[in-house]
Amino acid sequence: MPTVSFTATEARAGTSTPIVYLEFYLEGLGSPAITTYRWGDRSVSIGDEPIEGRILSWSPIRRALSNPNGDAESTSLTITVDDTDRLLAGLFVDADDRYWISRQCALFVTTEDAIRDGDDPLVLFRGVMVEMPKRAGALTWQLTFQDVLTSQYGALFAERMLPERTISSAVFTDAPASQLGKPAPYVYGEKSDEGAAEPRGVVPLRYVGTEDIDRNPGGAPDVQTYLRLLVCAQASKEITEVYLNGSALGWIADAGIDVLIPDRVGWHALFDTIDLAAPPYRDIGSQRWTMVYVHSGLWCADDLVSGAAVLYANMQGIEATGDGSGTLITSRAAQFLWFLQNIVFGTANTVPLSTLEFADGSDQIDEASFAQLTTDLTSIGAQVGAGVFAPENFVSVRDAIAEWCRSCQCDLGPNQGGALAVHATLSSPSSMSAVDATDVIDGTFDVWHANDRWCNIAPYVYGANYRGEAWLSGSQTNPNSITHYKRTRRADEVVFTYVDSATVAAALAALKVSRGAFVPQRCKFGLGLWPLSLIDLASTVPTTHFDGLGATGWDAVSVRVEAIEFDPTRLIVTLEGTNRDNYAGILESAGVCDSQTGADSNRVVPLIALAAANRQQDLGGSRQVGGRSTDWTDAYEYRDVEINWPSIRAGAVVTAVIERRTVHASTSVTARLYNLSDATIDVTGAPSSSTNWTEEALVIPRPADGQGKLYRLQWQGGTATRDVFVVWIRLQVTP
Amino acid sequence: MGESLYVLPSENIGASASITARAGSTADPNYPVANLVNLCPAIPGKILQTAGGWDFDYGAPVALDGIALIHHNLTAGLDVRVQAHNLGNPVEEFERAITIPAWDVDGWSVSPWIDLRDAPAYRFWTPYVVGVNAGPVAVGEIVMASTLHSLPTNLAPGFTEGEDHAVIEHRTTSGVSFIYLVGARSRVQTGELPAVTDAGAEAVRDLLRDAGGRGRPFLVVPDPDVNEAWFVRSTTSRFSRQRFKVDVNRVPFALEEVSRGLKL
Repeated sequence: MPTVSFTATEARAGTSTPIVYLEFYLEGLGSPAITTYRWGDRSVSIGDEPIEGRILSWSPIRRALSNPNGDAESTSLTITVDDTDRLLAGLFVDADDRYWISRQCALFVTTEDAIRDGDDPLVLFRGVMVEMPKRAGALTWQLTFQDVLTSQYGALFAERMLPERTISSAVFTDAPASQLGKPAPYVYGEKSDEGAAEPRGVVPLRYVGTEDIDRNPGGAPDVQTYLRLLVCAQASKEITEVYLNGSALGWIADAGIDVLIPDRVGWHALFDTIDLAAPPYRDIGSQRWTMVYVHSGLWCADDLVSGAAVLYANMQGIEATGDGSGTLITSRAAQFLWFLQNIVFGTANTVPLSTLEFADGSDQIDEASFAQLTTDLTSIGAQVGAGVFAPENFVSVRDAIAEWCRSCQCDLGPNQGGALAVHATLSSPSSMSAVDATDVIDGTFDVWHANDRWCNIAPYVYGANYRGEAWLSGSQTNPNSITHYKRTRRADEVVFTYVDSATVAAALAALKVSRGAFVPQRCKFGLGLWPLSLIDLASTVPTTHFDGLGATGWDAVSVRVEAIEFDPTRLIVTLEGTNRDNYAGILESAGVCDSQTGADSNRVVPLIALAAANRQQDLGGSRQVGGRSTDWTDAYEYRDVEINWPSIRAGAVVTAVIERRTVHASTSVTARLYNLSDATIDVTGAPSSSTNWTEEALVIPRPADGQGKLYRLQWQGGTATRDVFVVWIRLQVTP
Repeated sequence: MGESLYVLPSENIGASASITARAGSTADPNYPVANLVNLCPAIPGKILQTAGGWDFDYGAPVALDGIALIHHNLTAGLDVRVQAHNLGNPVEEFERAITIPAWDVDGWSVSPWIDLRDAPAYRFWTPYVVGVNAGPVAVGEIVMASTLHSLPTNLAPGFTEGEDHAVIEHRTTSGVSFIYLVGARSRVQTGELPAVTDAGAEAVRDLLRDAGGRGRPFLVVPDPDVNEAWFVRSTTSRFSRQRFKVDVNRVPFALEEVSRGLKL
C-alpha cells in the first residue's frame, strides 16, 4: 500500500483531515504476548482497526541530529491519557500486564482519506517507555516515551555504562582482585605497529587468572596450568604478534606449546589435536573471548602475574562473522554500526551483527545510512578505523556514541521511522521549498548566529596509544577565518578515538574546522505537515524569507535540516537547520583529485584538507625543467586533475594556485587550465615577466552542466628563445 | 410542529439486551456489537456484510416506543427495517421500515428514528438492512427507547441552533492560510422552555437527574415530524428554573450533540 502523503496544496485548499495516533505495544506475560493499543485524540472508526479517542494532550516531538561534538539529542514523547474507564489503572495491577517499562510505542500520522483508501500511515516516532506512567490528575495518566538510543542511557536517566561485560569471577574464577570488575575491551580494525622500526605491540593483554590445559590431548593426560592473558571480549580476525618488552613471542607459539596464540601451531595442537583447526577464540559459558595463554612455568610467567611485565599484541579485531573466520571490519562506519548493534543494543557474546527490530518489525538501525557513511568517508580516503573500546575504563553510552560520531565526523539522529541513522553529507536540495509568503507560518521564523559553533582552529589527537604514552596530535586551521575575524577561536580538542592515520585525522579535523570557520547561520521556521512527506533530517530545503540574513533577506538559501519538531496538537512542523553556505559535508570536501599519470595514479586527495592546511600538492609542472615556446604547451610532467563538481557545493570557490617565472624579463609566461573534458579553455592567467617565482590564483569556473571535468595545466612563453617555468602548487576549495 | 421528544437515559434499554449479529451477518471483531450501545456514536458497531443487522434479545417481551439509528453509513433510501418476534428467526411477527433520510450536503448521514408506540411487546427486536449498502454496515449507536416523552413545551422562539466544523488554521505573513480539517461536526441547541408548568419543569429536572447532568447522553427528536434524531448531552450539569409565577416556569434548556467522530 502507498504511504499517506501531505502536500502544501491540500493544506492551502483545506481538504485534508490529518489524524495522529499512537500504537502502544504492551508486552505481557500472558497470551497474546503483545497487546496493541491504538489511541488518538479522537475516536476514529473508519479503518480496519479502530483508534480509541483517549489521548488528552500530546507533547511536541523533536528529532535532531547530534551536535558538532557528537552528542546525540534525545527525542521524547509525552502524552496525557484519559482513564475514566480505568483501563490503565487495571493494567497497572494486572499480574501479566503491569510491566510497562521498556515497552514500545509508535506514533503515526495519516488522514481520513488515507484510512479509507487503505494507505499506510507515516511513522513519526518510535520509542520506549522508560518509567511507569505518572498520575496527571483524576483518572488521567502521563506516559513518557524516549527514542531507542536515549532509552539505552539508562532507566530514569541514570547513566548506563559500557561495556556491560566485565572481568568477573564467574568467568575468570581466579582472576586477581585488581582485574575483577574491569571492563572487557573490544578491538576494532587493525591495531598494530608492525610497520615500525622496532615493533612492540599496541594492544595490552591483561592477566585474568589461570586455566588447566592438557598438554597431551589424546594421550596420557598431562594437565598443567597456563596463564590467561585477555586480549578482548570478542573473536578476533588475527593476533599478528605478541610482544614482551619488545620481543616477539610468536616463534614460541609456532615452535611449541608454552605460549598459545590463536591460530598458531601450539594453539591448534592443544585445542584441536585432530584437525588442527581450533577456532581462534575461547568460549567460557555463553561468553566469547580472545586470549593468549602462557605456561605458568615460562620464565616470564611470574612477572606477568605480578604485573611487572605486560604483553602487547598487534592484531586485527572484530570481523564479520563473530568466529574469527569473517572479513576484518575495517570501515570505521561499519565498526560504529557493530558497536551499536552488539555493545549498545546487544550483548556481544557470540553472535555479532544482530538485527534489531522494533515491536512492529521495523528496523531500529538504518544500516543503509552506515553503508553510505562508509562510501562518503571513502571518498576522502578517511574510511579506515582502528581502536580499542574500553581498554581500561567504562564509558557511558552517551560518551561512547559521541566518540564514534567525532571519529566519523558524522551526525547521528533518528530518522522518521525511528531508526538510528548517520549523515555526513549534504543532500541535494529537496523537492520542497519554504517561502515566507506562502509556506512559512507567521511569527515562527527565527535566525541567529551560532557563535557557539564558531572555530577556526581545530586541535586533535589520534593514534590511540594504550601503552600510557601520548597520542599523536595535530591541528587544522582556517587562515581566512582568523584573518577576517581578527582572532582565533580554538575548538575543543577533537579526540579521534578510532583513527590511526595522520592523513585521515587531518582530513576529518579539516572538515570540522571548515564547518565552523565562518560563524554558522542557523534558523528555524514552522510549516504545515507536508515536510513530513518530503524530507528527513539532513535534507536541504531552499528557504526564502524576508527576515533572512541579507540586504533583501533570503532567496532560496539552502538550509540543512538538523532538527524537525512536530506538534500533534497544532499540526505544525518546525524545521531547524543551518544555512549550508557555511557548512561542509564530506562530499563537499571531497573534490576528487584523480592524478592519472605517474606513480600516484588514481590517488584520491581530500581537497578540504588541502584548503585548510594550505598544503602543497604535486599536480604538475616543475621548478627545474622549463620550456621555450610561444605555443600553448602542457606543463612538464603534467597531471590531469579531475574536479568532481557535483560533490562540491554551490557557492564554493575552487582555485588552482600556480607559480611561474621566467629566466629573463624579456619574455613572459602565461598559465592556463585546459578543460580536457569539454576541450575548452576555462581560465587563463595574466602574463608575467618576473624572474622570481610569483603566485597566481586561477579561479576555475563551475561548468554549466555541473559535471565533473578533467583539467591540465598549460603554459605559453612570450618568446621561443628563453625558458619559462610553471608549477601547479595546489588546488583549494574555499567554503 | 409538536413538542420535541426525548428519552430518559435509563429508558434507553439497548444495553440490557443480549445482542448478536443477525443470522447471515458477521460482527466485525474490531467493531463488536457492544459498540452499538456504548453511548459513544464515534465508536460504532459493524458487520462485515453490506446487508444484515443485529438481534436484540431481551429474554422476555418488551415494548419499545421507538428506535433510532445514530450515526451510520446507510445509503439514503436503503431498505432498512425493524423486525420483532418472540420465537426467533425466521418467524417474523412484526416488521416496519426505517426510512434512511437523505444525507446532509456536507456528507454527514442523518440519524433516522421510528415511532413504535403502537407496536406490541416482543422479545426479539432486530434492526437490519435488507438492501445492499455501499459498504459493510456500520451504526454508531442504536437507541432502543422504552418510552418516548414529550418536552412540556417547545423552545421559545429565538432559540439558537448552532453548528461548527472544527479546523486547525495557520497563516503566513502574507495571510495565506493552511487549514486542516478536524473532521468532526458539532451541533448545539440553546434556548429556554417558556411557560412551563411545575410538573413540566420537574420532568425536565428529572431528565437531567436521570442523565446525571452532562453525564449520560440521551435521545432527542427535535421535531417529531422530521425523521432526524439527535444523540445529545445537556450543555450543563446544572438544572435551574425561574419561577415566573405560580405554576409557570422558565427553564433554560441547552443541548449539544455527542460527537460522532468522523464520518463512517
